[in-house]
Amino acid sequence: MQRWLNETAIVFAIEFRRFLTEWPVYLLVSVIATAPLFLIRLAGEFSSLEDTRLLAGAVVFGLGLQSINGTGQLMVSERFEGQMKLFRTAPMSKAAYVVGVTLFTVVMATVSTVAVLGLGAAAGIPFELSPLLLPLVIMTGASLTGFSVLIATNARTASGGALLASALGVLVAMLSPIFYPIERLPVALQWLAHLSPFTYAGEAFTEVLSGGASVLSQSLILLGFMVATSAIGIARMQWRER
Amino acid sequence: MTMNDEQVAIRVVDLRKRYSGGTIANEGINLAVERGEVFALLGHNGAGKTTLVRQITGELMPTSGEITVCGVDVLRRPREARRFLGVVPQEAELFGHLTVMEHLYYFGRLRGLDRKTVASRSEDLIRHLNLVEHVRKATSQLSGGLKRKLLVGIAMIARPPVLILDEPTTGLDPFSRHEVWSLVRQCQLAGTAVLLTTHYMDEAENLADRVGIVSGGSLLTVGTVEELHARIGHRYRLTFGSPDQERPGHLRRLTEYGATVADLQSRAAELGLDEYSVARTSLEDIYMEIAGQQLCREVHRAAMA
Repeated sequence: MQRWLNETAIVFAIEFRRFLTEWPVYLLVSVIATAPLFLIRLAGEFSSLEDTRLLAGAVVFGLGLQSINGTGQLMVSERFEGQMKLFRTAPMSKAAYVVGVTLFTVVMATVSTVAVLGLGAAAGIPFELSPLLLPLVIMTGASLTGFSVLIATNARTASGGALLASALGVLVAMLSPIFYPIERLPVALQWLAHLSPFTYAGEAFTEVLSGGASVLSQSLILLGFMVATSAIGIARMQWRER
Repeated sequence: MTMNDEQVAIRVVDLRKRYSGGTIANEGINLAVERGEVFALLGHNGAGKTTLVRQITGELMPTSGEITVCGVDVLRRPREARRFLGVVPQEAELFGHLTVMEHLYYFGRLRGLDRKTVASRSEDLIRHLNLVEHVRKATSQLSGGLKRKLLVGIAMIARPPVLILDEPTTGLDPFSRHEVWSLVRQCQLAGTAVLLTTHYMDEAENLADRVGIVSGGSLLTVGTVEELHARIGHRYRLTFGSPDQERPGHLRRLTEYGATVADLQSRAAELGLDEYSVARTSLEDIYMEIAGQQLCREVHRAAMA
């Protein structure tokens, strides 16, 4: 266990050095990707709940970009550029690599959330800061890591893998009712939305940002997604090619 | 050559690799590399060297066969086997945002070294690889040759009992190549087994105790350079200008092989040559002869098919 923790910490440290040198880019991407969402407020009067839901939706959308897109593209580039070879030829487990990269994703997700909340404050949206935000960010950011791993290890080309990661991140965010209540969706899409962790993340962030704390059920679902998709991703990851 | 199990660092038995598309990349490979031995694999591009190496490092699953590293089964316990390996993969890339020192630090730590040991070994490697002035640079600022040297350093930082170097000196200038050779020799003296793939015949001739020639996915021959000389049966080559003025320029310079200088001199006399040179056959000559014959057979087979 000690060895595994050491391996995970080293992978995280290597990736985190990337963040230290490139953090303005990560911050800018989060701002550019989510700022236009706030323009919707120009369309008319928004109730307090609608404002909070918009902010929560922007947070989840940003987290979606960072988790599937960010992690997927990072792993795809490390696989095709050759950095992953340095890990694969070292005596370490693939689980340590996946968890180390996921921890890095969580850091990026936190930065993204801070940026989006800053934008929300600048747009005049009132919200509550709660300690519950951090575990929600972690669970949402890591809820689909397994998909990123599957894309990264099964992509045939770097460009194909990067495109797939981007498309899937946006698709999952768009299919989830993060900006409006799930009841507004057609019934078929409601079924689909229930399969997305971002649906529950949207509900949980709306609750917490409006000052509530009743997010136990959503948190358990997000935790379940995080554990299940990570386990599938690690199990299916091709650390050794066939 | 027979070796007992304790002497053997790498053992490959009846290895076969067939890709899902049907391409057979390795066929019937049997190989044993002894502790403290440098074994060079030679072969043209696409011959199957890197496929073989990647199966030994546990990156690629063989179709059938057995591989052990220091007695550990690579197929069943790849992670444990990798503890005995230091690897310079052919197409590995460094992390552009990390410095030279950070690479050695993190990959030393990943192999279980404590901070103090990593620091002292990093200093040694940096000095031997002549990377002192680049220590604090991000590797994105380094030339391809310097990056390659750092990859060699990363492979050696934990002083593993087996080193797998897949074209470690490709892109290096002559001075840098000699720095790497010197490190490989030091490792060998310390008892490390080294499996090296290279396109540089002088590198194999300088470093290797034994050489294997790979072509068409198979290991055609294995032996010391002397044994290979004996196997092809001629020790000298005669190079002469052809008196035939009708031949194009590049064909006027011809090479013939013979077992002794006298053989070759008589051949020169027979041809009526008064200007020629006689030299000992090199590893390149041996390689061209053995691999060349195989290549001709492959081309012929492909044409017939």
